[in-house]
Amino acid sequence: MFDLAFMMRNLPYLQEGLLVTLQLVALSITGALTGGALVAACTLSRWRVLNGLGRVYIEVMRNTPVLVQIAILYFGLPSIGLYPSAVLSAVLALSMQNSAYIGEIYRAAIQSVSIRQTESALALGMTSWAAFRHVVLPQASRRMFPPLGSQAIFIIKDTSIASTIAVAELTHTGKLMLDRSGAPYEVFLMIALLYLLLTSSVFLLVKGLEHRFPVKA
Amino acid sequence: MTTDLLFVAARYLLMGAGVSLAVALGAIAISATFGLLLALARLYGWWPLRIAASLFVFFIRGVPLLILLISVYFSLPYFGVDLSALAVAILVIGLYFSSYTSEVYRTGIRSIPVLQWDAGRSLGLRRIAIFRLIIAPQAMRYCAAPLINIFIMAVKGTSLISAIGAWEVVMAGRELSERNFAVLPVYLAVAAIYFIICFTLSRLSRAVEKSAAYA
Repeated sequence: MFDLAFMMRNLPYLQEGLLVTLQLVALSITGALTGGALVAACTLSRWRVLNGLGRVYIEVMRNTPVLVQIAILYFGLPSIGLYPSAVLSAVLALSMQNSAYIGEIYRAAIQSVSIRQTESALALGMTSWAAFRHVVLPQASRRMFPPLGSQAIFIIKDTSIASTIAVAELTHTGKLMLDRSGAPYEVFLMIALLYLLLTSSVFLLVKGLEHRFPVKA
Repeated sequence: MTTDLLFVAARYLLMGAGVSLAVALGAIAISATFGLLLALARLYGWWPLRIAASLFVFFIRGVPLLILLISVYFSLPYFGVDLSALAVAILVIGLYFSSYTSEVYRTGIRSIPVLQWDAGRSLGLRRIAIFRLIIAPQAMRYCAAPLINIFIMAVKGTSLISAIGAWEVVMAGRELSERNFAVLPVYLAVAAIYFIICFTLSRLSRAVEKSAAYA
């Protein structure tokens, strides 16, 4: 039923797609981690306007699909004279959407550190920045690993959506291979296993980090 | 866009939104029920069943929804099953998110202290009665808000089904933009439709979370 020889023969062709997927993942995760910091800076800010802007951004990004965001960037922006490439549109959309989620992860982790920790640091004469940098952040960052890991897995899976605007990543190469071979379940089994390999290695990495940097109560 | 064009476009998009919503509701129904079955299988099932359910969840959660949609849609005919794109969409999105809902149900059920089981036992109740009368009502209170958050993901997931040729709001938007060259407003309108649906759900989730906290 499953043609193993076919799968082994065609596996190398998926390599290029896999590389593009990895690039998309790396760029989007970097973008989302930085964007998330900005979002968290807004929502944690005491300045009302900034706070509201952050909240609106989070709600808009979290409640619209990535596919539509990608379409707005890739098909919509040219009508106002901007021409982002397919890869840029995909990376930008993934970064924007996930920075909303990651911003909330940062915020929740930072707020989970007791306010007394900051107060004690201030009482020791630290500036508020030093208190944040040396007291709050090290404790908060340990609590971020599990949710950041699952967000990274979402990002990996969502890069497949870039295939809808013809970015030549794993899903797209799979579709091409399907068109040429007409062997759908073999092709998609290979692709699914490759994605599974990516997502489960991130899962294991995060488990390792959790073990290496445990949350101290 | 002129005003009557705007009117036609709005009606067309709303028709597409109706299809998306129907698919989402079907998928939500499947993920709510099948997820519970998966959770029960993983918690109390016979061990091969438990392993099968865990493997299902592990596999499904590690693979993109788009891949599953395309592969199921194009592979099923080779096994002699010929389903329409919409049927595949409802089924696949439903099964996909049931792996997420099963995790919610599982943690919800496990969050109820074992003592409650013992208390039910001492009242002379059967296991099924204890689950139905004591455990499930309390667990549902924990589960409600996270479940709605997963339903939001399911609604957003329906945007992918245009990839297997199903006609829904994204496809309607694409057709409109290709005919009228008003690309940006059309896609913004599509985003707004999704936003209205998902934002309503997220408010609901927030409200449920608050009421559960005080119950």
